Amino acid sequence: MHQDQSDHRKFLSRRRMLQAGGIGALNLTLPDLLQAEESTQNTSRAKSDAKSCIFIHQYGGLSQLDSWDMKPDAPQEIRGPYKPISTATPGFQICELMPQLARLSPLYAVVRSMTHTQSNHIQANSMYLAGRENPAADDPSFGAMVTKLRPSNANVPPHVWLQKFGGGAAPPDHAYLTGGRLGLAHAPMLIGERHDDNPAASDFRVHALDAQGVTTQQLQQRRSLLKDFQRRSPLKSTVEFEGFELHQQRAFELLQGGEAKQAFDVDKEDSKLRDRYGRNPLGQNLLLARRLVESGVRLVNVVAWTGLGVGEKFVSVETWDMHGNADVGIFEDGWNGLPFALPRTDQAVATLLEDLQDRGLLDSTLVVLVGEFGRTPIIRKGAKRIGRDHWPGCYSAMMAGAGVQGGVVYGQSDKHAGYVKTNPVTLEDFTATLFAAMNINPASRLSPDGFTRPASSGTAIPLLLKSG
Amino acid sequence: MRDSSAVFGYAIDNWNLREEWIYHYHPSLQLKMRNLKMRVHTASPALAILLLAAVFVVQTQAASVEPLGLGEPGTLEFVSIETGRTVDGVLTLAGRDASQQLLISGKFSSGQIRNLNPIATYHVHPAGILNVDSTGWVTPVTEGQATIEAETAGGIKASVVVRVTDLITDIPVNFPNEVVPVFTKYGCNSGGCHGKSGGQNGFALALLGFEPTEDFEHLVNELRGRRLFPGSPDRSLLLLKASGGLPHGGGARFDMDSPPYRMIRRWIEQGMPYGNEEDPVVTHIEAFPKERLMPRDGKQQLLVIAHYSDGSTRDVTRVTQFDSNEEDMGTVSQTGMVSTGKMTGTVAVMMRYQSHVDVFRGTVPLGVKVDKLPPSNGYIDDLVFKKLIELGLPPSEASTDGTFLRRLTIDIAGRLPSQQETEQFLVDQDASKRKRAIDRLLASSDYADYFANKWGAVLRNKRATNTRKMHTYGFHDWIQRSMHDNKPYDQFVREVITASGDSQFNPPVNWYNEVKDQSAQLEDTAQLFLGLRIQCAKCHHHPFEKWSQDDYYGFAAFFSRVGRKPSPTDSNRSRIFHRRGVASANNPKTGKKIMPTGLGATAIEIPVDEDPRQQLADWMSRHDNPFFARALVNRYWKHFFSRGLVDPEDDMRVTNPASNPELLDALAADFIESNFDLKHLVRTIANSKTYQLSATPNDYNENDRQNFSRYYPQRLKAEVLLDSIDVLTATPTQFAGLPSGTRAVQLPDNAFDSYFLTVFGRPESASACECERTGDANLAQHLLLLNSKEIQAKLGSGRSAQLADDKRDHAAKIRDLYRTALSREPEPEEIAIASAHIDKNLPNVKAAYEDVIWALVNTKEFLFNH
Repeated sequence: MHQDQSDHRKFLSRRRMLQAGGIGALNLTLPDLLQAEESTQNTSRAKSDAKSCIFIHQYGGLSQLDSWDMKPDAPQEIRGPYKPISTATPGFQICELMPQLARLSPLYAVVRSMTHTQSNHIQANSMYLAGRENPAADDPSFGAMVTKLRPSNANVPPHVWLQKFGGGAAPPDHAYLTGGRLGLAHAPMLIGERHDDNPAASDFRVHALDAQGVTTQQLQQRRSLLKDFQRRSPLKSTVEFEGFELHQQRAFELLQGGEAKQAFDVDKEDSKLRDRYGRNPLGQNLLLARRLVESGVRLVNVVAWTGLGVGEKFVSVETWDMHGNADVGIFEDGWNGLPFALPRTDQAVATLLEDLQDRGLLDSTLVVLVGEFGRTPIIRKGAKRIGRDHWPGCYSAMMAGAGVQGGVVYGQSDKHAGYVKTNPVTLEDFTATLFAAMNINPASRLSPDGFTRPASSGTAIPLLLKSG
Repeated sequence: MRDSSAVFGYAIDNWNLREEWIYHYHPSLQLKMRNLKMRVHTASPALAILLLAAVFVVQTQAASVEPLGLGEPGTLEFVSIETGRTVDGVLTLAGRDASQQLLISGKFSSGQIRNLNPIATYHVHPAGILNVDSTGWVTPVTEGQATIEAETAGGIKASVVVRVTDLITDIPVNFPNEVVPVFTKYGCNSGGCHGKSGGQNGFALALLGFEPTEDFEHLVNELRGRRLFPGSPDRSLLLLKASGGLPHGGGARFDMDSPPYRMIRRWIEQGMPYGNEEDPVVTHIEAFPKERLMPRDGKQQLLVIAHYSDGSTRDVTRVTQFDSNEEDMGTVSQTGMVSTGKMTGTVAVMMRYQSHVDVFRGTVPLGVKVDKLPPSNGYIDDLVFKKLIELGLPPSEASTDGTFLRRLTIDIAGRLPSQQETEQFLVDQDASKRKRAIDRLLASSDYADYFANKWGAVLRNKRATNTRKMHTYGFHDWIQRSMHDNKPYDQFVREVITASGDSQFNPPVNWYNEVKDQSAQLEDTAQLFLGLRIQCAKCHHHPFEKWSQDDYYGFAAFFSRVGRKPSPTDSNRSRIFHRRGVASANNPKTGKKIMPTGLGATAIEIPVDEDPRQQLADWMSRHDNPFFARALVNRYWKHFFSRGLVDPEDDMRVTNPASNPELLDALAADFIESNFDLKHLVRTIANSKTYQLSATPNDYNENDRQNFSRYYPQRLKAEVLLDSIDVLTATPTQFAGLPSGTRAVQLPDNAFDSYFLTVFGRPESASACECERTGDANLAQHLLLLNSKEIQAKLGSGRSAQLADDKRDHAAKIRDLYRTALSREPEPEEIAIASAHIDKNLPNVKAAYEDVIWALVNTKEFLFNH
């Protein structure tokens, strides 16, 4: 009997090493592994501490070959101009454009074997927002599902979206702004409709909370009149009115200052910290995201628009769609090029991770960094400059915080990062893993009748999750 | 919110969202073993009597501070032993693993019946034939006959004769009848464990034991039989893992040498027989008792008897799975002992053995004297009040005239009463004015508009972007006219499910254009018209119901001859016709061809020239159909009371019992008797005193969410709310392409974009489920109402401008606003508050009225039907 068990352990840890792509420091035992698996099934009952999430969208599709999955031995026309650098995790290398994140590798996990088959932006975006390969028009986004399954009791909207998708690659609004069939209660509050509508702009403010057609004083007057009427109401506060009272109260909080409104005010942050995040849309949006999470927002989505270089004219917020179609080539220092966008992202995301850690929030906040697909191994000429094209067959994703096991690289690509070699990760499994990292049972029912549709039909990947 | 709503509730959600159930769809999920609490009742007799006495004392003392509950039992007069299977005074235990739970009941001088298992002691003569443990569980020792005497408080006794047989000639174990139920009871084949698709760690069992042949194959033959070891049964992997002898992800499920262990060991010993085809099978299970009034902190032993096809019976209490639907209300142990807590209300305990279920309902009364009941206005009141008296739960007062008129007009006509209607009603002195208002509203076209809105959503009258609106408009018009003409409901349904031709000429065909495939057709039909969700049975036996795959496909067969070809008038639409041929459907698992069969009915053969859907409609509208009328009256009950007698209204099953079954039966019988007259049903409900109760709770019924002792307020539905705001602000919303003056409840389909309607939960008409319409509150709704351009635009024109120009004094104008918005006169204090606000804002009277209207809109009194 004992013999049997230890054999299992050996076998599994061997398999584990293979799965982990040869990265060491993963001495999990079978009980650990089982616990890791189990933690993916735990519902709120087992672990009541709810997690938050900051989901960063590398909209357009990040090149895996120039970021998380370098192929230094590939021919020049595939490997690109950048060199890999070592991270704090032995054997794990990433692109030299991400030195800060290289330093912080024990905090995050990278998946090098993301894969699907959709190379059209619009569909691919809809797919990963819903976390399934064939999303229905009314499928809710991951964020909407999270707020449904883990309602927040704070006086802030449970779900906030920073920076609307824009340009030709944008998914339809219903894929992320309506809550899908879960309804508008789970739709995000959208901040940043235009490219310059973000906290990096000096005149930025959250218009959604402005008084509409009345002054703030008038709103206050109205509120006290309502209070006087309500006090006289013949209706007792029975259980049927609880939701009404709660949400009316929250709406007033948001409209009339108070802590809730303050959460949206990045100006309250120390200017040194603002510099550390980077004075660009992504940096400042991530700082805002951290403020929001801190005040109780369950989920903040951030489109990773990194802004414009000096003198550049706005074309689109599709930062990561680096075909070379605009005036900027993929390896050029402009809004649509890696040497511009990637270091800014490196700085912003690294600062976010450290800031969350400093505040003791990293264990309760999941951070995800991914695009709708990767880019072709082949570098070729786009409309104007060189670039890489859409490539869903194999790409990379990063995740950190909450229940994510740091220092892990999961899955392997082939020699040109064109196809998955080991442990392919589907959108379903990826999303199930994110749910699990937030202590949400991915199979929770979400359909109106409460029993036919799971939040995710995927399988959480134990190796990406903390054990126990 | 949950806690308070649970007090009187059957929280059916618990069963819908049970984890095992949730997990079974999901291969990756595992191990959510339910933490079944084992309760052992081993108090010594003397101590138990003391305890019992103590409970009574506590209750007597508590009576001054809290309602009496069940009340004092009085003196014990009579004790009985029930077994559910005693024949001519003799109970037979056949075979080594036979056992029997005794149910000891005492009748007291108050008329109360209480369970005495916790205090009974047992004497057996002669000794050595059998054992009785302290819970009253009997197991055989040797063949022979003995008498068990149960002694309870005050030495009052009862006895039963037991004959033990078939110990020497061992009866072969029957795998499906005996082994499989153990897997169900101990959660092994639950959706979270080995029962999920693909099994758990390589070992798969069929979900909840519905496929015994597959289980047998997996246990006995898979992996070259390594799971069982007939040479040394105790060394079998199955027993070692299940009893904790080997590490098991699910932990130890039962003890070594426990009854399930012994039975499985015996089965392995016997060489793992499957059982013979001719072996009797279970036909149904029966719970004892089925219902009981219980005290707070009370106990009730349950007894479960399985009835077999050969007429034999067997006690299966120890292998039955028990579940409480509301653990706050009452819990149940693995051995079937129900324990109530401090709360008032009913707890339902579901029992499952193989594919069979039964339910016990234990009710803990509040025990307040119900002496102020309104005079009954028919059977609804009789049955509701009967339940309230039984529970000792006094109802609220009758609603005021203004509140009643507003409630009634919203529920029947989908709008607020006009100012004029309100004024007339309030001054009317005629005693029958409520009855007349009901008749007037039922005769109005507003009734038809509102119920067409309701039916249009669940009949999925949904316009796709590329289809022409004549189809959905036509269908809406057909529904509206059917409601207006009060078409008998059975005929209405028949015209939908048997619809043929082109929807341009026969509007109900539209249903088939939205409900496209056969499974959607039968599932919608079952859910919408029969209140049954049989979706589960498409792939496996329904976990909480008797429906098997054969039932599903037998029902599907009615739709097997639905033909479809493109409509010549619109390529996106189909014409529906009857495809000549034999109606049948194949059960994909067995490959068996199944003839059309109504649910729970017998199969019928339908001539090739006849449309089987007509036969389906015939079956549904039969007066003895157990589902059709009940489903409708329950749906309508929910419309008026915001909670179904069975809730959700389209999930009627044995294990989701009605809160007042007699009332459901009576409503259904009356509906059938009236020849499916919908207006008659509405009239009956609206005229009841129950419907006319106030929403304001008294000292006792605030937490009642189940027994209709008060009216439960609900938020105005999206369309009604928008129309109401339009009326109050005097700014009608204009819908594109429709005549001005068209109200939101009159919209023919849902293809009219409106943020307002969406945010307040207008249904998408994408399913047959009424649950698509949500009444949930959310932040967006309140941001919209409190601070939006849309509402501000309404406030800024229309009514506020009119009132600013109106030369009457403010009190008169405020009175108008109150009558319109709330259907009542304002109190002097309310007039004073509003006037003061206007004075403060002088000279800007218009802006001040905007504020007053804004404040009225945002009161719960306006936003809710109450």
